[in-house]
Formats: sequence, structure tokens, C-alpha cells
Amino acid sequence: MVSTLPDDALSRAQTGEPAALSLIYQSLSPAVLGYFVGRGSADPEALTQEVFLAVFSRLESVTGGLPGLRTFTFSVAHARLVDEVRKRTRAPVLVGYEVDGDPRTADSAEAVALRDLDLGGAGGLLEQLSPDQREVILLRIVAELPIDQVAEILGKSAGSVKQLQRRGLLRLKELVHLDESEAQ
Amino acid sequence: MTGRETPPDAVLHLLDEAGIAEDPALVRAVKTIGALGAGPAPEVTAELAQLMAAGGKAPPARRNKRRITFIGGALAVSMGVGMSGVAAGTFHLTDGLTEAVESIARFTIRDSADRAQPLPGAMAGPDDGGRGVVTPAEIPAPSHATAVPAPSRSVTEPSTVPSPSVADPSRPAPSVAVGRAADAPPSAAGARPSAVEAGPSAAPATRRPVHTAPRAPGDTVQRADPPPAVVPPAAVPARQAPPVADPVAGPAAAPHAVPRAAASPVAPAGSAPAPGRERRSAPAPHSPAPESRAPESRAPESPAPGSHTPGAPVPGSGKAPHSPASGNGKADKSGHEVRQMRQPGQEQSGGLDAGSQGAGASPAENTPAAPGRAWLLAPAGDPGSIPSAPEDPDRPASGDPGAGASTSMPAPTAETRGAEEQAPAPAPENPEAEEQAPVPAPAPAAGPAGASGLR
Repeated sequence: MVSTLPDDALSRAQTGEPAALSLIYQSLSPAVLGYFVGRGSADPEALTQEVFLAVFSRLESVTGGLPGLRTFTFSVAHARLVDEVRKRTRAPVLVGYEVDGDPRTADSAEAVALRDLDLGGAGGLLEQLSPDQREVILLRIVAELPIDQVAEILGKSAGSVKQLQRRGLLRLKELVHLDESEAQ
Repeated sequence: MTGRETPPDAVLHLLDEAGIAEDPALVRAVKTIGALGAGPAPEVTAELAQLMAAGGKAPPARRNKRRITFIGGALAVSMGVGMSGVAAGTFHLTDGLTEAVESIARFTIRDSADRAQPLPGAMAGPDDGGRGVVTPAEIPAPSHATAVPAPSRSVTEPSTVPSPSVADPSRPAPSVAVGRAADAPPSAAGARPSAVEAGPSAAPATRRPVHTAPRAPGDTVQRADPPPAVVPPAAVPARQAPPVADPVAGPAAAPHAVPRAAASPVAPAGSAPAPGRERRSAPAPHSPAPESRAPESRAPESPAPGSHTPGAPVPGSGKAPHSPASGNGKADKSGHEVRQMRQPGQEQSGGLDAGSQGAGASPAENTPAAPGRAWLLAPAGDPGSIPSAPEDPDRPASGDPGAGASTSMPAPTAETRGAEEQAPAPAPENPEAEEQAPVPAPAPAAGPAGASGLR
């Protein structure tokens, strides 16, 4: 992803060139969207739009080239995610029960089998990690950010991020081996 | 795994960095997680597309706020201007402007008057503006006192008053003449008597205000000793201001008026009534003595002969040899009320008789008919047969110190003496008073008998 962006993309975008802005959006938005999806956001696409609205509005203040732009973008994404979580906590959606409008259904056997199979997938694996481990793993793998930048975004030290990353990977390893053993 | 192939070195680097041995299952799981960010870019919303099209320039939200603020301020200002315009654009504006101009002009006149006459203090009334200041240059020598025209009032017709008078030609209507005269600025002529009163030695000394402490009538009599022309009032209240001295009558008219006013304890300067009231009730100052009243001193609004004023001069002649110089024709038993009832046109001929009438005697009773019109009062016969009032200058004016002062008048000049001799008995001017009050025995009433005499 990072390699797909030309080096002058940021400078052109800062001058107000729409093509450069579009190019930045096409390069970074999938990772941002994946970040929100991996974090279990209710509306990852809307949050993605908000993130880029904020990024493009403050593009002139971005420094550090493309890595700096990437860090800034995921910083905004993380802030938006935190805002959403807090908002969800403060004002949970309370909807009256309606039979016709109840979308809940009981899972069929096939769905359960596929879900068990999906436990080896990304979503199932991330759900079994702690939030901090999940955050670090996502930022490290999906966002492809270095440890110091992840530590900067999360407000943690680099050692803490390394520890979280290591524990998260070990947890993934256990889960993968567990699934493989259960599958066998 | 996914569309976006995560570089293997990156995963291996991540595992090495974490100190975890390479595991194919773990590598596969990491690549699966990494595939979350390899999806297509989400659809751009309209807002983001607009932002991108605008070059990343966010629409300034504060601009709208500024615009709203500007529009609100402009609206408030326009409303304020409109209200002010409505308030200022009422139809009373022209009247207000006219009044403002008049007031400014009036203040200008008053200002000049005040400059000419130092304000004597709180005792000063608005009607004493005619006599207050004497400039040395305007003070004639005592020997020339008889030649000096006496102060005139605005009551007199300006055209007939050559002296520097208080009469302002620009003064309005004659009906207001009395009141205007009360407010008239002081003139040299009006102040002249005061200086003469001070004597030749004191005359050039200063200009001093007319108003001083009220004087006793006796004092006035003593001051009347100096030359005949002028014994002006030291403190002339508004209603007792000396009568207008006529240039023709000359100094003869002044002596009658001045002592009376000067010695008037009834209404000293400090007790001068309100200006508005004085204007309505100030007949005496404008009325020369019956003996000394000159025909020129009559105001144009004097009643025409044949109307209800038997003693009035013939209009148009402008100079009647025998001035009516009648007293206050409207005087009844109480002279005070009569003064208030007096009209401007009648006040001119009120003269000092008003003061004498204040003693309780009606003018018809006490005042003999003027010789020039005595024949009007006479039922028949020539005027010579009509007994006239005595010319005694010491004629007592009971109750009115002004009248007493008038008795101290010096001898009139030859000019006026002739007139006095011819007009020993001034007739009352007010026909109503004549009708109401019986004419003294020597002079029959001017009512039907007089009319019949006319016929």
C-alpha cells in the first residue's frame, strides 16, 4: 500500500490537487476500513469517511512525508473509534421488541459448522484476543505501522507495544494450533 | 490469502521481532488478519467528494457565522436608523425648527440686552430690561436734560420714536407689544434717566443697574428736585416702569413717569410679578401722564375716535395737539384688577392715572377730560366751559406712591405746558369705564351725553 503512493503525493495533496487526494484515499482507505472492521465498529465505512474528512481538512499540517501521513491517518481513525465506543457506551440503542422486526434467527447446523471453520479466520482469531493485543496486532499487521508509531497512537511505550504484540501473536498461535487439533 | 499479498518478509520480520518461531499456521493466520486491510476502498460520500474536489479546503463554517452576524448587525442598524428617522421626521419638525430659530433670535436679543444691562440680581424682573444701564456717552448734561428725548418703550410706535429706544422694529405684533416691551432690551434712552438722577457728577461714572433697593416715596420726592427732565426710577419694577417718553413730549413726559415708578413701594423690583403676568398687567409703564402725554406716543392700536373712545386722537394725523392721555379707563374701585384687565392698546393711554386710579377713584371721576376731547364729553357748549381738572402737580394720589411721585414732577417744559394748559382735564380713554363710572360733575359722562354732544 505504501509503495503504491508516489513520493510527491502528499505535497501535491497539500497544494490542493484533487487527484493526489483521491490517490491517497484509494491507498489508505482500505486499511482504515479494515482497521474498523477488525475492531468491530458498527459502521466502519462511515467512520472511514469521517477519518478522511478530518485528514484532508488538516492535510497542510501533516509532516513526515507518507509515513507521517499514514500515522496521522490511523491516529484519527483510532480517535474516531474511541469516540464511537464511548458513544455506544453512553447511549446504547434501546429498541422496543417487534416480532416482525426481529432479525434474530437461530443458527442452522451449516452456519454453526461454517462458523467453527471461520474460527481459524481473522475475525474469530481477533475476537479471542484482548483489546490491547488486538489493537496492536491490527495496527502492526493491517496498518503496517512500526512499533514506535503504534506506541504513539496508543499512547503507550514501545516496550509495552512489543509485549502486547508478542503476547498477541502467541495467543494467535495457540488458537491456530487449537483449531487445527480440533479439526483433526 | 487475500488480494493484497503481504510480503513474507514482513510477516517473518514481525515474528522475529516478537521472538516467535516461524509457524506455518501462525503465518497463515497473520496473513488472514492482514487481508482485512486489502479490500477495496469504500465509496466516497458526497461530503468527502466535495472536500476532495475543493482541494481539501474545508468549507469555512465561521464564514457563515460571520455572515449571519453581519446581516444581524446591519438589520439592527437599519432598524435603529429607521426609528430615528421616524422620530425625527414627524410633522412637528418644522414647528420645532421655527421655534428653535425664534428662540435663538430671542436669546440673541436678550443676550445683547444683558450685556448692555448688567443683571441686577435675582430682583431683576423680565420687564425691567428697558431701563437699567447708562453709558456715560448717553448721559446728557443736566442743562440739556430737557432736550434729551425721554426713554421710550416699545409700546410706542417705533416709527414715531426716534430715540434709541427699546422698541425693536422687529418686534412682533402690537397686541403683544406690551409684553414684548417688558422683555425689550435696555437701551441708552431707557437708562438715561437713571444717570441723570445720579446727577451730573455721577452721570459719566458708571453704568449701573437700575434696580436697587426699593425707595420710599419720600425719597423719590427728594430726587425729583433735580431738573425737570429726568428723575428716573432707580428701581423700576416692571409694572411700574416709567412711561414711554415721547420725543415730542421730550423730557416733560419722563418726570411724570419716573418718580412714580421710583417711589413705588407697591411693587418693588424684588416683588415684580411673573413675566407673563406682567405682560398682561403692566399698563402703567406705557402710559404717560395725562398732562404730559404727547400725541406721538400713542400706539397705532389706539382706539379710533368714534369707536368707544371719546378721547382718542384722530387716526392718521399721527399728532394730535391735545393728546388724550387719558387715565386707565377701565379702572374701577380697585385699580389692581383694572390693570390686569387692561389690553395692550389701552395700556398705552393708561399713563400714570392708573396709579392714581389705584386709589379707588375711577378715572372718569378723578380724571378730567382732555381739553382736546373735552367737548366730546360735554353735553353742549364750547370746551372752555367745561371745568377741567386742576393742574396741580401735587394732586394727591392716595394709596399710590407713584401718584405721589408724580406730584413731585418738575414743571413741564413750555411745550408741554401749553399742552397741559389746553388739556387740563384728560378724559378717560376707556369707553366702558366711562359708561360704567359716572363722569364727574364738571365733565359730564361721555356716554350718551357725549354722543349727543357730538351730534
